[in-house]
Amino acid sequence: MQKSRSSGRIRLMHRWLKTGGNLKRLPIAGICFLMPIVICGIFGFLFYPHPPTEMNLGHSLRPPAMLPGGEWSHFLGTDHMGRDLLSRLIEGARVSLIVSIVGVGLAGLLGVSLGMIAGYFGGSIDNIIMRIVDMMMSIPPILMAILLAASLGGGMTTITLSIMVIFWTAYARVIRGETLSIKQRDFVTLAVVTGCGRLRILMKHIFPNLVNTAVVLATLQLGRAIITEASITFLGLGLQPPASAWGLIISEGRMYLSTAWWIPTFAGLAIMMTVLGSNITGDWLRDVLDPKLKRI
Amino acid sequence: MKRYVIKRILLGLLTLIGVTIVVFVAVRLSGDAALLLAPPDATQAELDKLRVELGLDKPIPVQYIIFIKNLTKGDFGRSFRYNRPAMQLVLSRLPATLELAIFAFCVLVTLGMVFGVTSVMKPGSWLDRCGTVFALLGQAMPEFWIGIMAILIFSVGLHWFPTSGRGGLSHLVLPSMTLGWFSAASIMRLTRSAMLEVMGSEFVKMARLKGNPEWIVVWKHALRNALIPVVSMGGLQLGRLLGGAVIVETVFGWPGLGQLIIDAVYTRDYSVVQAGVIVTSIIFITLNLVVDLLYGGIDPRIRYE
Amino acid sequence: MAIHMNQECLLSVENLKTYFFTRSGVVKAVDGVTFSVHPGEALGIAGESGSGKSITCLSLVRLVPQPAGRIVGGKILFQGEDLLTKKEDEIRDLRGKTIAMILQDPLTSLNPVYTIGNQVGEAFRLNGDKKRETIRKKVINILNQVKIPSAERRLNDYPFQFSGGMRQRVLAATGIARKPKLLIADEPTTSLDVTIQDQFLRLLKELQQQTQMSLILVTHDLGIVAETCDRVAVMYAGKIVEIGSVERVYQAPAHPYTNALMKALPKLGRKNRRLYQIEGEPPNLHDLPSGCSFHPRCPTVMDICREEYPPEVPVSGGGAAACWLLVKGRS
Repeated sequence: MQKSRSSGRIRLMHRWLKTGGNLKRLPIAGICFLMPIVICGIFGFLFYPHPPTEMNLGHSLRPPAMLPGGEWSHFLGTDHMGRDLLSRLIEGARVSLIVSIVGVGLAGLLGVSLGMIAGYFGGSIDNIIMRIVDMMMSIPPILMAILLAASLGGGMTTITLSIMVIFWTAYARVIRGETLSIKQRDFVTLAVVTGCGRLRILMKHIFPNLVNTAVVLATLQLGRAIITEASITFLGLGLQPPASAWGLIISEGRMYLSTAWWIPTFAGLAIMMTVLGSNITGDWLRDVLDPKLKRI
Repeated sequence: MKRYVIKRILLGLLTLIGVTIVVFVAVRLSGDAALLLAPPDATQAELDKLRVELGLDKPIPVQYIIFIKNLTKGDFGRSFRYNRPAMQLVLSRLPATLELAIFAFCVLVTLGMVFGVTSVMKPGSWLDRCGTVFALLGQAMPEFWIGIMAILIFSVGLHWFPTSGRGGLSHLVLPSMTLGWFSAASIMRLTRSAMLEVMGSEFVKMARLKGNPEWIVVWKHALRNALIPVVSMGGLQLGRLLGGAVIVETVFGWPGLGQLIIDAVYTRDYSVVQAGVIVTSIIFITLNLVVDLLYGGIDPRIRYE
Repeated sequence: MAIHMNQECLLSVENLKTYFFTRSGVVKAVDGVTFSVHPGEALGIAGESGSGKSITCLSLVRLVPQPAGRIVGGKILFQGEDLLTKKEDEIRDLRGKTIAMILQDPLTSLNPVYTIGNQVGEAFRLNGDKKRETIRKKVINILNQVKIPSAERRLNDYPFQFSGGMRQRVLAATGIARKPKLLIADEPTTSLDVTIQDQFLRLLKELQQQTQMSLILVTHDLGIVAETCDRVAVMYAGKIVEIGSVERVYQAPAHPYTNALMKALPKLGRKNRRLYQIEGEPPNLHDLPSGCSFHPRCPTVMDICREEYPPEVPVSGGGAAACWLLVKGRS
């Protein structure tokens, strides 16, 4: 009789403890990249060197502290409106993380539910849901976001909605496959035979075994969501000025590429750091929790 | 085999219809479709006329039928900015985008696959390590930033390539590298993991037992099996490339469909957006169909189901 | 083992040791194995899972799973030459041509994306044949030899279009295509139905007799060994515990383990008796018992068994076994 894998997180702990809490097993690089960004995101408002929206036109386009013409009070330099770049980047962390996490979370909710339903009930419900997934996946993601932005206008809600609409399909497909294979297992048959209602089977037996996969998928998606959000914002269709979003900082800074190269460079490095950290951590999480996702 | 092909084509058509539904719904989401599709300076009379044409006073299914009927006639609306039918405009810009996307796909995807296979054959070598770094970075950087940095370093800094515009090979290099890096990274990682899995199979062991040299074991026996998931992903990546072209064209001033769509969004020339999205989706669906057929060519088990 | 060494040996393995170096310790998968095979002879290697049978065979062709596995000692004398001292491309030359091996599961052992005509033909191509027509004829010929019906029509079929038994025959065809001197079959019938098993074994025997090929048959099923082999080596925890002719070993097993295996075989005519079960559990290769590895499960265990591993001593009737019971002076 196969056992139901109910608590992936406890397994994770067990495995880590079994290796003697071996630090080598943890994704050090990933955490190193991600931690500062997360800290900025949550606590950033406590330690801005300057308020991110404070403009000081006399100090505009100053280079970073290490270069000639720079000042230590503006460690990474200033943008064209004299706003401190470092502060704006810290603020940007919060904004980007919120949009991406909420977006991916909503996508996960939608995708996991539909995937479970499609996998479990099969038949025409499965067909319909999968056709919808095919349809949604046939529109390239950026175009989908453009379509929505053109229709609903820019702003935080639209872009979060865009991310949800773009990312739910991946969940649906993967979770459906998982559900199909879990459905065959003995403990599910046993539940059916003892007369469990379908909802109960879904929630109590099938869902707990999907959690691992869903969590891993979410962490893998997070990086892509951040990039998607930044790209759409860069195009002017996401968060609007004067928000301190990384994508905006880069698009504003593009104008001054030859004179103030630090503006788009550091903003992009911030994005890269976040996504790299998220990807590395996500890969590690996948290797520990659900290795068969290697195919994604 | 025929059944498989027909089934795939039918699915493609179904998906296409689905896409039109999505576009249809998206436009209606804004509340007043006529307001969206008309030029900003339209008078009330013109707006009303448009409403009648679109059938906005009729129930939604009827509106959709009108929409589809227009599409099949090739009428995707009219660009008021350029004063031409939207479809014509879109088709005129298409070749530029295709040039970029196909070049990026061929060069970088091939690179990704080769990197992926060699990193499995020689694990731990400098090639493998380079490949891993290449893949990690490629998946962590947004295209628009890669593009800007590329311009900064290679155009402004080193003067190796022009900063923008379309032209000969030198104009193609930076934009296609920018566009393709992410896809190459994904393909490389997938090829690598698929190859690793296949290399552990019994039939690979058997191929060695027969006395085959290692390179035949890898390139004949292992690779074709590993290609199965890679080809699937290739199709997905093409879609990404078509979408990503929007950003790259904007950054590099490449006169393609992507830039057209973005400009249309800024100038509220929505019929062009509509047309652009649908055409891009048609291309994507067709490409996926081709990928599916390729799939059948590689894996005989699919053909015979 | 001096008793077995003689000039006519095709294969003579001396004290072969193959270890796996893992994070949790060294696993001595093959720990000092000595046996020989004569031309035209069929040797069975019998034992439970984990006894080291498959790794022994993989060691013979130097395809031990790397990087964890390594052949750390011993000699493999094939036609007088030590295979362990040869270069990689010399060994590769041998594989398939002189020493062939077929694996257990025919479904996963055949490449799913190529036709069987292609895969069997590959053996001939490796032999040096170049013309498509010649290869095609030879493939049809050999498929007929392994009794695959309508061979010519089925050349362009894929492995998934064949039944399990047919696939196993195709595998056998690839094995014998180049007329090797030695064919190693690793559990060739484990994944087949019992009736098909029988047919396949008879085929193997026929092929062997037709070409005077030597056969090493690896299996956990003693019934198969009895039917197909001339001699048998019984393995336990990486070592050979008994070796001898099939008649002698089956009628008068010398080692307690072999004895237990014989007793565990269900016999016709004996009703209402519980099947004999060997006490204890299969050995954990990461943590082997001291002395004789079988001692925790041995019904006739003695003190010395716990301390020292017994030497291999000749048995009356032919062959040898490693058991303290046989060492003269103790009973």
